[in-house]
This record gives sequence, C-alpha cells and structure tokens, in this order.
Amino acid sequence: MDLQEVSVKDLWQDVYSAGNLHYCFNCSTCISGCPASHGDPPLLVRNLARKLILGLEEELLDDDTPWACVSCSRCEEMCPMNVMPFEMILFIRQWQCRNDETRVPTAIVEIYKRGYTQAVGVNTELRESLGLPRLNTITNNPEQLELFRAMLMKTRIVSENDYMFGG
Amino acid sequence: MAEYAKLSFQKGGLNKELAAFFRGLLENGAVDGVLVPMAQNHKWVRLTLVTSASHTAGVDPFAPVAAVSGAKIASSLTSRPSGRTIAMVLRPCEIRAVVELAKLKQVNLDDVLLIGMDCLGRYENTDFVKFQEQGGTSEAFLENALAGKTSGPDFDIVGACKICEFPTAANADLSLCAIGGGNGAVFIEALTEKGGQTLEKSGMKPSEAPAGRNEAVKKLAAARLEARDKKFAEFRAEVNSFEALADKLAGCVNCYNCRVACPVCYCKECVFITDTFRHTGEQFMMWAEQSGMLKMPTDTMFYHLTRLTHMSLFCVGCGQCTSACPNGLDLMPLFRTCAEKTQARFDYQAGRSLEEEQPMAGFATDELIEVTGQVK
Amino acid sequence: MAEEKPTGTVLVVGAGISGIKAAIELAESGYKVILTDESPQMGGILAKLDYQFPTDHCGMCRMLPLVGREYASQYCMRKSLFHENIEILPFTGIDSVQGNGGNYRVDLRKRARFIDPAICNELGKCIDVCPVEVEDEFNHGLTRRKAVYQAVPHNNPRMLLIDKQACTRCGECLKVCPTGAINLDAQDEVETREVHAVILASGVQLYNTRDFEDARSYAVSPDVVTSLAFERVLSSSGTYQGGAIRRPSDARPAKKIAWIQCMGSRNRRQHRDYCSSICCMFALKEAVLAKQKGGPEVEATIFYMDMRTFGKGFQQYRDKAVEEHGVKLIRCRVQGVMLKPDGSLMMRYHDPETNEFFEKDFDLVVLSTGQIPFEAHRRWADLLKAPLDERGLLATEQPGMVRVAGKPGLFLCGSLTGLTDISEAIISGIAAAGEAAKFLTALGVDTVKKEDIPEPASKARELPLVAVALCRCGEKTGAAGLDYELFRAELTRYPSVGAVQVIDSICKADGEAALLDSLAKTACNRLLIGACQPFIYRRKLKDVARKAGFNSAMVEIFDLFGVARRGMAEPSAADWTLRAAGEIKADIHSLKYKPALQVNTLPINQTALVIGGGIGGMTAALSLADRGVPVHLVEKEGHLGGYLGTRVEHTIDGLAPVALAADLRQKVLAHKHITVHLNCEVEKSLGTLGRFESQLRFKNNGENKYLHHGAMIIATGGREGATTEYGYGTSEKVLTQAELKRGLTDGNVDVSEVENVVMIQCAGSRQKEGRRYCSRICCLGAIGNALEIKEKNPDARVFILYRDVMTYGFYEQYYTKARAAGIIFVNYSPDAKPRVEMAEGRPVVKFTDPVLKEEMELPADLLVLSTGVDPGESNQGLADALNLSLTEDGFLAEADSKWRPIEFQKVGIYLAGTAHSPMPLKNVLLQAEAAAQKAYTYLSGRELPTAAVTSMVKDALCARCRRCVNICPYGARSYNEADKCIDIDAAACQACGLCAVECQNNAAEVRGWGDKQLMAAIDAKLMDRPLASAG
Repeated sequence: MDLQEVSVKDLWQDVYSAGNLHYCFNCSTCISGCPASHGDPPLLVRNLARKLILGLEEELLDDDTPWACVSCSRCEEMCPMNVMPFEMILFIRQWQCRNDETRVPTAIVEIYKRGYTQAVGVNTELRESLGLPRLNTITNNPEQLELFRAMLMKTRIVSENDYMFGG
Repeated sequence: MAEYAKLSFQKGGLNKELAAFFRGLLENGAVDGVLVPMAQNHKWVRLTLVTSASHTAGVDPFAPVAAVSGAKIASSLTSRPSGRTIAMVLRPCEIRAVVELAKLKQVNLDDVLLIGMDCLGRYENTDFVKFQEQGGTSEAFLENALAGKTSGPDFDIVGACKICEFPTAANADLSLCAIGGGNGAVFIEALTEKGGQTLEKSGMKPSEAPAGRNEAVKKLAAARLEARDKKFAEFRAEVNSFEALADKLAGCVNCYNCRVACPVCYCKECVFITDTFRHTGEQFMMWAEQSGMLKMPTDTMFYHLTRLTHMSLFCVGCGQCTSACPNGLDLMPLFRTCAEKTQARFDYQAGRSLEEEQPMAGFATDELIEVTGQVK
Repeated sequence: MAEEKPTGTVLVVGAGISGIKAAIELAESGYKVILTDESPQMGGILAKLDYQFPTDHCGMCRMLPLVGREYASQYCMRKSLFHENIEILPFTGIDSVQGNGGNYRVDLRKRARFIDPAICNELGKCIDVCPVEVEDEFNHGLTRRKAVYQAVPHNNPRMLLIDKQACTRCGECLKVCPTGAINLDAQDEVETREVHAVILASGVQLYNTRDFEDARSYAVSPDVVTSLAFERVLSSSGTYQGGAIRRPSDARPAKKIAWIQCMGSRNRRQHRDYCSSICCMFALKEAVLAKQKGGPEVEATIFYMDMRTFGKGFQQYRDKAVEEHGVKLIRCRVQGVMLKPDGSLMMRYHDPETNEFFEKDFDLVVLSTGQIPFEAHRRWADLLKAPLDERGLLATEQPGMVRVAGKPGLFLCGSLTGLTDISEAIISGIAAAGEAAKFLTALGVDTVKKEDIPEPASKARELPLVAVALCRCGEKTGAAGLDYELFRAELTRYPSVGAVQVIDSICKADGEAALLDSLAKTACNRLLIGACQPFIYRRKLKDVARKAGFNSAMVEIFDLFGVARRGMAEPSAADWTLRAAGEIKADIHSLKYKPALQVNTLPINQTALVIGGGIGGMTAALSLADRGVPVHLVEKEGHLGGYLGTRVEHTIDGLAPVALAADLRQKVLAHKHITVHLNCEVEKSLGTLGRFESQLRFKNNGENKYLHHGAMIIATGGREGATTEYGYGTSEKVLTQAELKRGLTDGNVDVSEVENVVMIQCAGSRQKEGRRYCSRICCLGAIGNALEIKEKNPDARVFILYRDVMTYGFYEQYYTKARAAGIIFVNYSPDAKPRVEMAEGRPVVKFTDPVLKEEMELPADLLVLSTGVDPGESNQGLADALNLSLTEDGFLAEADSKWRPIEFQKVGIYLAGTAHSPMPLKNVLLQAEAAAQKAYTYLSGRELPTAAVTSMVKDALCARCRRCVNICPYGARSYNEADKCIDIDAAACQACGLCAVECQNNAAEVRGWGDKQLMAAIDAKLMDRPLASAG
C-alpha cells in the first residue's frame, strides 16, 4: 500500500472525538482479551485504531468488524493509554453509516439469522463444568426467533435491504 | 612434507642407524644439540646432551630405562633458555610432563624440537643393570616386547608401564616408531610441520607409512587400558578407607624422594621443608596427648595427601614416584587412581594439549557449582 | 589556640544501595554520617535479592571500600554494615527538617522496637512462644512470621522487634526473655540532630498489587506474584527450601511461568506515564534464573511492550536469555489473568509473530511491578518546603541531578533522581556524596580526627605468650550462664596462655581502664579479647590494646557472645563453658603464630589527571579543582567541549550542552588549579594509585610531556555511529539523526516544505554485525528531532520505524508527547528490516506495518537514520596505555557493571561518560561527579594507609609460573617482565587469598594468614576429634 496516496492526518479526527487517538501505542491490550476477537473475521480493535491513524479511509469504510463488538467494554477499562477503544468503535460505526447510507452491516444479517451478533453458546462446556445452567437463548427457541425476525423486518434498514435477508 | 622415513637395520645395527640420523641432524645444522639416551662408560644409559656430530655413536634411545624423568632435564635446559635449538628424545610420559611444565612456564619450548618414541616400558634402574648383565640390548628388548614378552628371569617392566595407555608420543615434532614397522626397520614419523622440515634437513629419504602400525598401536593401547582399569579396581578395593590408606603409607619416612623424582612437582621450595612443618615440642606433645601416642616422623600421610592435591591434576602416570621410594611404597597406583577422578572432573588430561588451560589456573565464577553452591 | 572547627556531619536518609554508597563515600572522605532507614533493617530492596544481573550472583559487598578497608567491617553487606564514621539508625523516620544549608536541624523519630537490642541476646525464645502469626512482608506474604520477629532473616546481629499492630500484649515473651530486653510499653523517641547537609536516598514506593485497581484483573490467585516476591520464591533463603520454584497456592513445582511487564507503569489512565526502567532486565534475569534453577522443562515467557535493554551489556544479556536459555518474548500486553477451576492461570494473548491468538495455561504469573515515584517526592517536598517541578518531582538545579533547587546542602540520590538500576543508584549515591563533600569543603568544616596512638613494637620474635581478656557483659553473656571462673581455669591450662582476665564491660570507660590496668602487669606479648560484636568494637579495642603496649597485629578479638550463644545448646553451664573454651583454642593458636604486620602507607601525589575535555571531563576536573586538587586536563582536539558541547544546543530533557560547555570551559580556563593540555593524547601510563606517571604526546609537534599524578579519570567520550545501510551516502535526502539535529539547529535542513519524514532506528545497532548494543540515546534523539520538525511544520508526516522504543524512566513522557503530536511509530523486527529504494531522487521506504501486517511504502522527503554511538577511536590505545581492558563492543570495561560501575580493577583510575557506554548527558554529569568523588577520596590526603593484610610474594620461592596472576580477581598481581618477578598492587589487593591457594610453591601468601598459623588453628579445632591415625 502506498501511504503517499492516503491522507494520514485528518481521518481519525473526522471519526473520533474522545481525545487524542495518537496516544495508542499498539500494545494489544484491547485485543488480547476481547470476546469479539474470537469471531470470524475477528474484531481487532487495535487494527481499527491503526487504520484511523494511518488514514486508511477506504479500508475502514469496508470494515464490518466494528459491528461485531459486544460492548463488554473491557478494552476501555484496561487501555493503558486511555484512548477509549470502545468509544472508538461506536464512532467508527457512526462514521460508516454517515458515509454510506446504503450500508447494511453484515452484523445485522447475523442478528437476523441468529438473534445475536455473536454465536452465543460457545461457552456451553465451560458453563457445564462450572455447574451453570444451560442458557435459554433465542437461538434455541425457533418460535421466538421467528417473532424477532418479523420485528426486524419492520425496521427500515432491513426492509429496504430485504434481498440480503433472504427475501 | 615428508611424513615418514624408514631406518632399515641389520641385526645388531639399530643404534648405528639411529646414530646416523642424529649425526645428520647435527651435521646439517637442523639443531644445535641433541638430548638423547646414551650408553655411558660402564653399565648405565643416561640422557646426554650431545652437541658434536662425532659424539653420537653411543645413542640408545630405546633402552628400557629412565633413571630421571626427561621432563626435569628439559626444565633445567630451557627454563632459562640457551637461545640454541635442542632436539630432545623423550618417552611419551616425559613429553606429557613437558607439556604440563610448559604450561606452568617451567619449560620453554621455543627452541626445542621434541622427538618422541614408541615406549614399550622401562625397567627399574637396578633391574636394567641385571638386564644388561644378562646381555640384554634395546634391539632385543623391542623385539621381545613387541612379541608380548617384557620380563626377564626375576624382573619385569615397572608397574606404571604395564598400565600405560599411551605407548606412542603425542605433542612431539618427530617420533621414533618401533611398533608396526616389521623386522629390521624403525620409522621416523613427522608429527608437525616443523618435524617434517627437520626430517628433510636430516638427509633421510621419505618413505611410505609402516603398514601395520595403527593396528598394532591400537591393540597394545587396548591391552594396557584393560590392565589399567583392572589395576584401578584392585587398588580401589584394597584402599577403600582412610585407615587402609594410612596402612598403605605407613612405611613413609618423609625422605621426599618421590617429590624430587616427580616430573611435574616443580616447586622451588616445598612447603614440607619450610618452617610451617617445623613444629614446637609443645605442639608434638599436644598431638600426642590427643590420642595418647604419636607416630614419628609426623605429617607423612599429610605430605602425600598434599602432593595428591597439588599434583594429581597434572599426573602423567610415569611411575617415577614408585621407582624413587627407598622403602618400596608403590605410590603410582595411588596417584593414578586419584588423578583419573580429578582430571575427569575437569575434563582434563595431563599432557594432552598445550592449548588446554590447566584446571584451577584461572578464575571461573561458574565452576564446581556443587561445591561452591552458586546457582548455575 | 586555633579555633576548633566542627566535624562535618551528613544525614543520609534511606539505607538502600544509593544511601549506603553515599554514606560509605562520605565516611571514607572522613566525614561523620548518620544513616537512617524507615524500615527495621537496612539494605532496601537489595536485602531481598539473591541474584543480580548480569552475573546472576550477589555482589553487594563490592560496594565496600577497597583501600584502607580495615576502617569498615568487611562483611556480607546483606547482613550488616559497620563503618566507624557511620552511625546507623534503622527504624527511624524524619519528623521535620528545619534550618538551611550548612545548618540543618532534623527531628529523628526512632520507632519503638519494644526489644532493646543492647540487651537482647538474640536467642529468639520470644519468637518461639509468640502466639500471633501474620504475613511476613519480607517474603511478600508468601510465608508467615510471629509478632516478634526479625525483619530481614539473614541480618546479623539479629535485631529482633515486635510488630505493634500484630501484638496482642499477651505477655508470653516477657515470661521467657532471659535478659529482660522486652518492654511492651516502649515509646518512639524523638531526637533532634544537627547536621551540615542532608542526602535523601529514601527510594520510591513500589507498585503493590493490593493497592491498585488494575491489579485485580491480574492478581487473581496467590500464584500471581510480584517480581520482588518471585525473587523470594527463587531465593535459597526464601519461601521454599533451596529456592525451588513452586507455586504459592499448593507448593507444586511451577513449570510454566509468565512475566507481565509494565504493571503499574507506562499507564496514562493511572497517571503513571513513565517507564519503571528496571523491570525489563529484572524480568529477563528472573526468567533466566527460573530456567537455570528449574531445569530445561521450565518454560519462561515474558509478555512485554518494548524490551528496554538500553544499558551496558543489556542487549547481550537479552540475546543470551533468548538464544541460549530459551526465554520466550511475546510483544503483547495481556488484558488479564483468568483463574481456571483447576487452579491454573489462563492468559489469552496475541502473538504478533504468527498473528494468531493463543490461550495458554501457566502455573505461576509474575507481575513486573514498577516503581511509583510521585508520592515520595510529594512527601519530601512537604517536609522540606521545597518545590516540585512540572512532572511532580522534587525540583533540582539541573533536571535529574542531585542538588535540590533552592536548598543548599540538600541532595538527592538513588531512585529519587529517576528510576534507577543498581549501577545508577551507586553512581548517583557517589555523586550525591561528592556534592555533599564539596559543600562541606566550602563550609570549611573539618573531617574526623583520629586519636593518634603510636604503634608499639610487635614483639613477634619473642616466645609467644597470650593474654586473654574476657568481657563480662552482665546482661548478655552473664545471663546466658557462662562460668567465668571455669572458663579462666580452662584457658590457663594452655601452655601459651600467660594470663586470663575477666573484665566488666570492656566497651565502657571503666572497663577500658580495668583492661589497661591489668595488661600493664602482664609479661604477655599477644592479646586475645573476647567481646560481643567484635566487628563493631574491633577498632576501639585495638586502640585500647595499643595504649597498653600491644602492636595491632598481635591483638585478636573474638566474638565471645557468639561463642556463648552456641554454648546455650549444652546441657549445663560447665559443659558449655568447656565447649566455649574449646572453641577459642583455635584463636589462641592462630594468634600464637601471627607474624608482625605493618600498615604500609602509599604516598599520594595529590594531583589528578582527567583525560577528555568534553562536558564530562570538564565537570570532573572542576569538581576536583574546586576542592583544591590540582588537575591536568588532557584533550586530543585543539579545543574543549567534546562532541555534545560543540554540536548540540539542546537535549530533549532540558539540558543545553553547548551553553553548559561554554560555561564549563570558561571556569576551567580561569581555574588556578587546572592545567589544560590540548592536542595531545596519553601515550603510556605507569604506576599505581598515588603515583602514576603518564606520557602525553602532542599531535602537532610529536613532543612528549610527562605528568605525575595520584589518580586519573577517563572521560574520553564516543563517536557518532557510522552506517552504510538504507542508502546512506547515496542521496542528500538520507542523513543521520545527528546531521539532522545540526541541520535543524543551523538552518541547513529546511523542513518547512517536507511532506514525509521517515526515521529508522537502530541503523547498524543491536545486531550481531556492527554495534551489538543499544546506543541508548537515539530513540530520544529521534523523538526530539521529530518533535522539532512537527513544531516547525505541523503538516509534515513523521514516521519513526523502531524496534523497541528505549524511552526508559521519565523519558517515556517524551514518547507519549511525540505520539500525541501525531508522530507515527512503526515497529519492525530485525528479521524484516525496512527497505529503501531510490525513485525519482527520493528514497522510498518499504516496510510491513506491524499491526495490519500489510506492506507499506512511502516516498520520503527526508530519511533519517539513527546510527547510534560508536566507541571512541582512542579507546583501544588508551586501554593499552593504561593496561585496562575493553568490552567486546569497544568501550572501557569497568570493574563490576553493577557495584563498581565507574571504577577499574586497578585502583585509582575512574571512568565517566561515553567511554563507559553510550548515555544521555544527565548520566554523563552524574558519572563525572561520581568519578571526581572517587578520586577525591584518595587525593584528599598526602598518604594513604594500605591494609595491613595484603598478599605478598616470597620471591626466592617463586617459580614465576604466573598462576597467581591469572587467578587474581582484582587484577592486583602482574608479571614484571623487566625484573622477571611478580608485582603486587597493594591498593588493589583485597587479601582474598586465592593467590595463596593457587600457588603450589608457597611463594604467595596473605600477610597474617601464613600456613603455620592456619595449620595451628586447624589443629586446635581438630583437637576434640582426633583422627583415627593421625600422622
């Protein structure tokens, strides 16, 4: 990638207003324990910050991973540089929508399919080993899931893009 | 570079051929002097420093005797060097002692050409006299010894030689090879570049290598090694306690002959003849009072233990200590069994190499951690 | 009559490394020192460490004075320190500091120990009966202790005390105490002392996992420990027998061990935006030790952000840790530690090398917890009413230096000057002592005067007859039940004992009089005194003995109290009295054969030679000259100033080298005690401490000049590193960091129009070929230049391609500032270096972005290379001329990298600045000050007593084998080629005795430790156990 072609200095300021994102020194704290970093593709908070700092506008616009964030806020709690990574993700989501009206993130497709952004239930074994009850999730309840889908269909963003949701 | 030269001889003519070789060395200016065992007027063979080509007739390097370790002579000749080049004909054990002494700065090898030889053993001095009186010659000794017979009617080679696993010379420039040369031939092998040049200069013609040599040497060394290990096992079984050791050494009279004979024991003044061991009457009385009696002279075992501490790392197993004892104490097995352990502990072998640093002659912080308690 | 001047007295607060070093330095210069410490025992953190980088051994005792070492006890420093000019007050706080420079009144609060150490016989019966158990803070709560305890287990004397908080006042201890030493109602005592100067060496707080919020994510189990606690796990005297590595929760062997770096530091959110500086090496050392101690199956993994191996030898240690010991380094800061149901510790991390996530279980997790400076600084600022600087640190006259601003006579050292490792703590301790000594010199106060007692003749040639004087110290030994009459009778039986006296309290005036009185009557010619704590009273008792006509060499002092204590195990007083008598037979016999010893004096030429006229050299020269020492200052160039002083206007941390050099130059040239020699180098130097002769050769005319001096300081600096990498030399757009700096200063490099600036760090550094080491100053230099570019042209994009950003300590703030200014940092690994191609006259830099793992390329208007610092060209020549050695990197090799960082094996030569290793100016100044102080200690007197006990050569016995030369760890022995004999440098010899052991010829001997004497002592010890067949 030719960095000459990208505008380094302005992008992050357009997107992010929770302070100086440049404090980030790529320490990986935000990603090392991030639950959404298990996903496919993984959410790599650190990489989003990097794209912002390097001004990789197009790449960031196409990036769906911010929508995989589960809002646990651990990155925000632990970031040693106080750059508010979770805020950053919300800022990126807003910016993506601002810049692409037709944008229907895959996350919503996931939600439509599963009832959750993430595949809930990955910890089933661990829960059992700890003696915790099985989660009664919407995924396990087809009736509720259908109801939920019908509700989603009524939203503008889904109904206008219904081709993505299997008609 | 010539690697070998062949000395063929008629029966009874070995020393004559060898004399010709040494004469060549002196005549051609390869060296300024030769230190070589040589027949004396009467019955002895002694190391002799020869500087004139016309005085080489009596050389007898293979004579099975070593009255004084050649290493000690080498030290006298070179510790304050003459500035002249000397060829020294020494037995393998003597060369190994020379290597140790060189590292201790007691021998200066700058102007020395070391000529080793195959050693099939030596007799005690008194036995060598008997051997000669019975008409024994070096040539005959070699022939018999190579056939496996070293003993005479009431004598044999010394114990040290029987268990010596180093019958050939290492760390020499040239070596006189008797093993594996076949009847009527001795070879001279060049072991170093310097040795090769000297061989060329001496006027000897290059020859092929003795065909059976490697095999024969290997066989002899293996037999000696087996004998050695057997001896070690016997000695360890016999001397397995402090008391047994005290018994073994009970005959010692503090004459210190073994110290004088030992080629690597190089101190100018031994601690045992200093004031440290000149005790007061009060001291003797106190010792005696402790156990009710005191053997005199005292400090005999202490003396040997001290020598073991000082010298076992450098012990080359020549057996001169045993030969020197007027009371017939066989000290060699004690030194060799002890040296085997101490030298192995430092992965050191006395006389093996001039480059290897002597153990405990440097300050290593991570050495012997099991003793020092330092973490490794 | 001349007016009596007061004796210069300095209060040193804090008995950690730097405090102890400052105290020893001042005491050695002849001043009185009061050394206090808040904790019950001295030693600071070092008391806890068995092993230190880089030798992985302890070496604290190397801080002790080398020459005239009989003034201090030569003793394991982790156990205790004694110096006759130092008054040690542990468990003592500072309530207030009044007054000002030259006249401080300090209220010292001696905290109640509840056990009087003067009476306590240290047997610890009270400990046995104490029913209260609490966590032992020495072992970081890994073990438990009683309410009655000993703060540092290996301290000697034991100095027990009672933990007031834990004590339930049950009174059990009072019942068993045989000496009545316990008083549960004891109160703190406040004492006002007057001192001329104060050195603060209190150190700073350490991050504690209990007090900080973040720690909760990590310290989830007892198996997560701090690095200092891990040190106790490793220690042979620590929590587990023999220092086996076990996990605290269940004592199972710990095989998988992880370190997490930067705990509590490099953290803006917690307002700790600094690097704790020492933790990287600490973790590497612990990881190596864990591998060594635990065996090959131990896995050691360090999670880090930047591995800051900036110091001398650090990079090599890191390479060795990774390549030879297999320590794994992973650049990832983990979010937390998860405690799994089975008790193991799980961590999820991202491995940047594979770009994958891993979840891995560990047995033990070590948190590399950092130092926390601000609170300590705030506390001192309040107490001293001194200002804090903008960073929240005590303001000093120059940043990071030792003189507190506006408070003459008040100095800082150790961690208060920045976050320091051992060697820097030592250097700042010496520097603070030096500044204090200069201050005292200017005040005109006196040094300690010694009572001049003439040394009586030795009578060594007479038949030995030993007088024994036993101190009956009522409270201690008396109560232990020693039968003095039996003791006397038993000793009198020995043929060589002429008299046995029992005297009450020899340490007091009455006792001294009684001893003098009784000795006046004896015909004895040798004297053995039994007293308590001989290492404290040794010198005083020897003075008494001299007054009584005994030569010092003929007097020995033994620890009667120690003997008495050992006897307590015997069933009856008579039994153990006899045993005690047996114990001292060896002392009697050794004394019998002790030879006459005399203390030699080295005449001292009180002139110094300083080599190198840069800022360091000039600082050192002025420091000495201001104290009246004549100094020769030698500079190879035609002008003073050195590299920095002629080229660099400002450093990032607020120093102004050119202005500083100009100021120093003016002072140097005007100073009546300084002679400057320009255009010349030292060609050869011979001699030893006190009498060196050096040959100067002048470059321009080839003439020689010979100087005589007593000590010398090497401050020859270094060179700008060179490189041929990254297209350097092919385009004017490719330049070095130093060239950029000069260009920015003189305007030759115009950055107003540049779009892209790329800087590449470690050009030719930290790699196997070229400079193996980190040059320490380049990251700061690059950041400084980058900030300057940003200032001049805010639109410029500046990329810094780095391996580890070496902004240790408070320099971290510049790294943060640089990022905040928009400078983009790009990490690269040495396996995938950036590539540079020239296109259209511009360098195009290609690199892989470490985060996105994408190939990037950027045409640069300026490509700036950090080429590091090369060792000075003259180092080799200097090392040859002075018979010193160089490190493999070409810098001068100091005596001991941690404990004697500015000294050489050869006493009397000192080192400052980049000749030692690359370093920032702040460190150069500290080292220069410290080197001057070291030299001054010896140059202040016309002569110097060497120790009586040094090694010697009996020349007639010497076989010249030189084994003693090889083995001497102090370089005190050398072979004199001219005279063909062994020479001994009496100042360097520490009488360790290795030469005597090594010499097979009995030619090497330590005076006063002859064979006969030792044999006699051994004999005496063996008397009770005759051998089966002695003889």
